[in-house]
Amino acid sequence: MRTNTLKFVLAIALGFTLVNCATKVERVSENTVTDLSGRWNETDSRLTAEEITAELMDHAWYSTYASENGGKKPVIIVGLITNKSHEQIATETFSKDIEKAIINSGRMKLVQAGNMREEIRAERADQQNNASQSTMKKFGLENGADFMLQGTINSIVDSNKKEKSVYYQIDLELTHIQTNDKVWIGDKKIKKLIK
Amino acid sequence: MKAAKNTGAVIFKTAAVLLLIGFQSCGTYNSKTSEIESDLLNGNFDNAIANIDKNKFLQKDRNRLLYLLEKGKLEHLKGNYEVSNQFFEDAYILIDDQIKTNAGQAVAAKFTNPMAEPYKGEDFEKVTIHYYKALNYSHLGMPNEALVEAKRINIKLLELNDRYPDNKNKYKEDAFSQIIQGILYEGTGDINGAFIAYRNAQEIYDLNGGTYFNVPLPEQLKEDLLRTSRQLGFTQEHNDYLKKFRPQDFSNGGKPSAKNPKKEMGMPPMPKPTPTGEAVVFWENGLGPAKDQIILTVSGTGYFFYATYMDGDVMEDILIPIPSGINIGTVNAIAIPKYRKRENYYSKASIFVNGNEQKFELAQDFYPIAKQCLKDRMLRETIDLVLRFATKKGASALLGALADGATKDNKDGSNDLGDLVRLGADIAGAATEKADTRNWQSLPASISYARVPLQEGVDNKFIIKKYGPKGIDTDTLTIPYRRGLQIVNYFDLGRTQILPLNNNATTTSKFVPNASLEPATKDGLASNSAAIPAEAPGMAQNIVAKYTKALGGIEKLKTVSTTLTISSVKTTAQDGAIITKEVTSKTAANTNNYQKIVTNGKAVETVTLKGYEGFVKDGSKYIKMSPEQYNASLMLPRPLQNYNLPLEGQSLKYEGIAIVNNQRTYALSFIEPVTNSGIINYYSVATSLLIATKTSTPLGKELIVTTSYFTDYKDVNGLKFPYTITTKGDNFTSEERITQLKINEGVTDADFKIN
Repeated sequence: MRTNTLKFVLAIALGFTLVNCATKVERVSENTVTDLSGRWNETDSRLTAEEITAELMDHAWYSTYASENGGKKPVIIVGLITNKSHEQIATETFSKDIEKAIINSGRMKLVQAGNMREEIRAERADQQNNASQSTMKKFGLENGADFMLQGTINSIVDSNKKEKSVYYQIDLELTHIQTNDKVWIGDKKIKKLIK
Repeated sequence: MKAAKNTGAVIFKTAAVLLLIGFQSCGTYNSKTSEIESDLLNGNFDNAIANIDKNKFLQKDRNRLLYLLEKGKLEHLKGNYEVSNQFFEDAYILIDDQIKTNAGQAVAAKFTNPMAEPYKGEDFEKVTIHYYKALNYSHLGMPNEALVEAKRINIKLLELNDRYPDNKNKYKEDAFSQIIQGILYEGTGDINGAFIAYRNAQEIYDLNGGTYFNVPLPEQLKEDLLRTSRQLGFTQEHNDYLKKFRPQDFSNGGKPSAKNPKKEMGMPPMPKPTPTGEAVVFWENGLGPAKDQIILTVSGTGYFFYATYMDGDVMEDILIPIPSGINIGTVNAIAIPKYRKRENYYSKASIFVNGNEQKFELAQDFYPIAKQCLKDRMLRETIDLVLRFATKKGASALLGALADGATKDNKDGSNDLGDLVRLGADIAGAATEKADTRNWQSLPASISYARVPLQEGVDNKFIIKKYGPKGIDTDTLTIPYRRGLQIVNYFDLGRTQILPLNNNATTTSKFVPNASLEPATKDGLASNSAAIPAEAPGMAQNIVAKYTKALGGIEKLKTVSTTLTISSVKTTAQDGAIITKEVTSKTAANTNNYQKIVTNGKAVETVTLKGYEGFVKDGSKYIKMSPEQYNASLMLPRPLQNYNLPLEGQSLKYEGIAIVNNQRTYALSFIEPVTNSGIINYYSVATSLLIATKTSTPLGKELIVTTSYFTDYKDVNGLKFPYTITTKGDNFTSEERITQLKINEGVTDADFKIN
């Protein structure tokens, strides 16, 4: 009787010493697929960038433009990628990947857009007063873009009790700024089933 | 036999130790921090902060999170936004690194009291940290840092949603936090992000039939959705919302109608031009719920511990399986925490924009959320309750068994000592049974909001109207113009109103005992720093206790049996006549009082008050005063008047905060039973000393009102006395300067003799 009760008390006490362990952090390669919650994650961003970039590079719009313009490299500006999905998605993570691929291909030119462009212009304005004549950069010599890349992210969520499917569709479009012609549409579709 | 006695002693000692632990941790968190609560209600944030740092319970390592939350909130209230954010950031890191229970704490918690475990925070508290951090950053003009908080809100909410995937938790979303997130995104110009957050908030309302935790879908959220979808050019979404929220505006599916042919295809025009500066004003009302505990006791046997209790109008029950092999004995107690709603003074408020009254819309009501969080958690933690119960029972059984083994000397083999010890341990177990009553108590009861446009280049002033049981209070909120959207909060922990008392406080209006507070006067302090609670139990006693302590302590006061005061009194009458008197005043601890007044070296008046009668010496004869004369003479300020206040009287009523001579004071009122005077004493918040008293005495058909101000406190034998007393009445002002004050010296019984 005595020992049994003692054991019981001890078991309870000891049971609780084992509950918590220290946090472990393991570094993994950026290409590792880690699907934890079923939400938009870095794997989705990476796959989107890879596939859409490949489509953009392979498509015939480039050769058409090159032949029509005597081999001139097209100038591209990346516009807004609008998030219409149900989640907060950082679109910059893959739009930057796409920009990088454009530059690295060496076949197209990319010009700065958005806030960063404003900062460049402010710097240029500042140079007019503060930089020496020989190093001062002039106004009005920016490269005008030929094409603008824009896009949207949409999502559809379907759920039933414990099961949930999430579908993302990322659409990117390339439009000729002068003529308003859509010359290319690329997409990436992702479907996940969460149980 | 000797050995048996020793074992018994050891066992009793063990039980005593268990009991001791129980007594040590007596009381709920709320009762341990009652001083902080009253400081908060009175807007005395400096004191509250000082008290938090002095509070032993909050200083414990296991209560670190609680300390950081409370301190962060108080620094925020005080306007120390950077300091506040440091505390909140520490709290965030502490939560993020996961607060761990060490083995010793776990055992202690199982044996005695779950408050021995580290405080881990309720889910809604973890989300609300980011609301305050974002507010702090907004006050500091750092919208990008505020956006970080928006993202953290998102992560916290997703965690919340994931943690309990099988929908056991009812609180797994927070619509208010989604709205905050939207506002913060909008604040940095990310309309897209804002739209997503607003839409997520709206979906929560949709899924819950339009009302989420007592909060109906705010009109402002509808506006936000319509505006952001329009700004983004999300035609389809915009039209869907229009159809849903403004069916009257939505005709022909947004297509141009015959009436309005110019209307653009698909996209209705913007309702109003967006102003260049806007502010979202959050109105935080009251103090959030506090945790109490209820102890459920049951005697009996069986495999279940079953008890019911009332939570408001709802009957809750609790069912706990008892581990087999445990004799649950005779005394069983289980303590469970329960939220207690702290009532708000104000019911609603509104803000005036260009002359139009715009109401603050409810966005978050913490009481139902807190209750739900606790209920959700209780279900998960029943196992803990069982373990706690079993451990205590195990311990008592163990003690009983030890006693059994030690006392086998009864003839029939029974073991009185064993039973006795088991009972003792059961009682100890019942006494140590405590619920975890910790929660973030400086949170408001509710948060409402309104969005207002700002005019460029000026400080925008808005009138805020607040509706309470004693009428409408008003205040002005100033928001400096800034481009874009900023967030501002305005809080009323209790009543934000000031008792008027200025230097011409004398009044001929009738004194009505316990009258409602008089209309507001602006005190020139920060707009939301003064507050008066609707009810503050124990507040008055607290103030008096602080006052007596400031004077030198109750023990010291009790040693005063007589005082002798010599002072010069200069009285200026209304017509400008000045009378200077030398007053010798003798008082005894009983109500005996003797006063000799000398003008220009000639004794003009000698008054003796004995008990409830007064006598004036006329030549060598004493003439009894009329009740009116007696009452009037009581109004003369005497040093011991300070102590006439009923120190333990129940009739004391706390009236709120008043500004007296630019000092913040607590106002206490009571009725002097003999004279029937209404008296309001004003005690300095800073020094706790009495700095003014306003006396309204009915005299015949008139009401005589005088106000005395006590200044120049000096030390006499370790006690503080005011050396300058200025009294203002309807038609006179007098200034008494004490030149000599003696305690227990120079006064004899003969001084009060009437012959």
